Amino acid sequence: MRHTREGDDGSGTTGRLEALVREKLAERIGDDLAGSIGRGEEFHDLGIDSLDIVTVLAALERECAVDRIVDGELWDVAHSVDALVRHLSEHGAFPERA
Amino acid sequence: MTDLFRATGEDVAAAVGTHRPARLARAGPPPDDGCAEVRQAVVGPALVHHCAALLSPAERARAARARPPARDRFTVARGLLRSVLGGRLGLHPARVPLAARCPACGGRDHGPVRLMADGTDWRLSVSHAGLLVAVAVDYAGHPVGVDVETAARTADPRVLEPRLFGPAQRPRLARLPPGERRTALLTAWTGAESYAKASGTPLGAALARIGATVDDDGRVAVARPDALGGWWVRAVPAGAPGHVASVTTRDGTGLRTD
Repeated sequence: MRHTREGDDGSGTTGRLEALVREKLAERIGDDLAGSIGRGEEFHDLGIDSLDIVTVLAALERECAVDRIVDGELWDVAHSVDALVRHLSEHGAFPERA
Repeated sequence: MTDLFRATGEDVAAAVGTHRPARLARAGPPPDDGCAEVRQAVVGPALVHHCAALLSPAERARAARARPPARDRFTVARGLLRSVLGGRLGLHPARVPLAARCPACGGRDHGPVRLMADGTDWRLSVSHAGLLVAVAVDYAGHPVGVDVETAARTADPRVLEPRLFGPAQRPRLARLPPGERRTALLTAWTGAESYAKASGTPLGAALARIGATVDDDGRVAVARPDALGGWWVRAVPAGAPGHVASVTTRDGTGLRTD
């Protein structure tokens, strides 16, 4: 098991995973948008398209040693910052521990 | 009044490098041979200006909410779609009745666009990326999907390849020159996207089903139509350098392109 959930106060693993998600988003969509997205905002509503989302998810999976998700579940885990953080915290390891 | 945008290589350069409009051509009635058609245009200042005058108030409002590159692509895409349909219907492009509706939330300011003309069951699909926009129309009432992408958006092909190609294909991909490798990747990607749009399949499932293969020359093929429930995924020549385009129709549907 590689579960690493440590709380949702932004100072533990969840907070660091959110920072990592925003870092990978920024590489695709720029710092301004990646930094200003609300945690629950839907990526599609912000004009972030499928290629961006799949690329960010693939990069996060590599970095966090997450087994590739079943493709049919793609949008269940990759529709918002919150969803990505939840997926990584439940199924991955933070890079320092990977 | 000209109704249909048709960009040539010269027009691409013109639209990108100067303010001269892309060449325009008039369309006739809908083809009666059961063919779908795909039209493309290259986004440039003159074309954006021309298309902005064709939009409905709701479309102008939607364009105004977008940031500049997306705003220009949306404007040209709707202008192109209006011009194609207006030519086929015998209407001025600005009078073509289009409506959008989001299947998820019901909102009418986003979501897939539909033609609301009486007596027609034409199906539409629109895509834009980089400098290229494309519209596809199926006049027989069968769903159609088009997708375009630009090679500039695949910085690291290794990230996406495992989602699009099986393990047996990857050594062949790795032997391709970088440009051809990106093109192969985007051909499979746009094929999956166009299939998802036409069939209504969630993109994640479409990526899993597409079964793309690549040969030693970089040519990409996707799964046979029978493996995709009767859908035919085809790459089509892109209307601008550095871009890739794919279309999905029902199996057996002919296709007219620019």
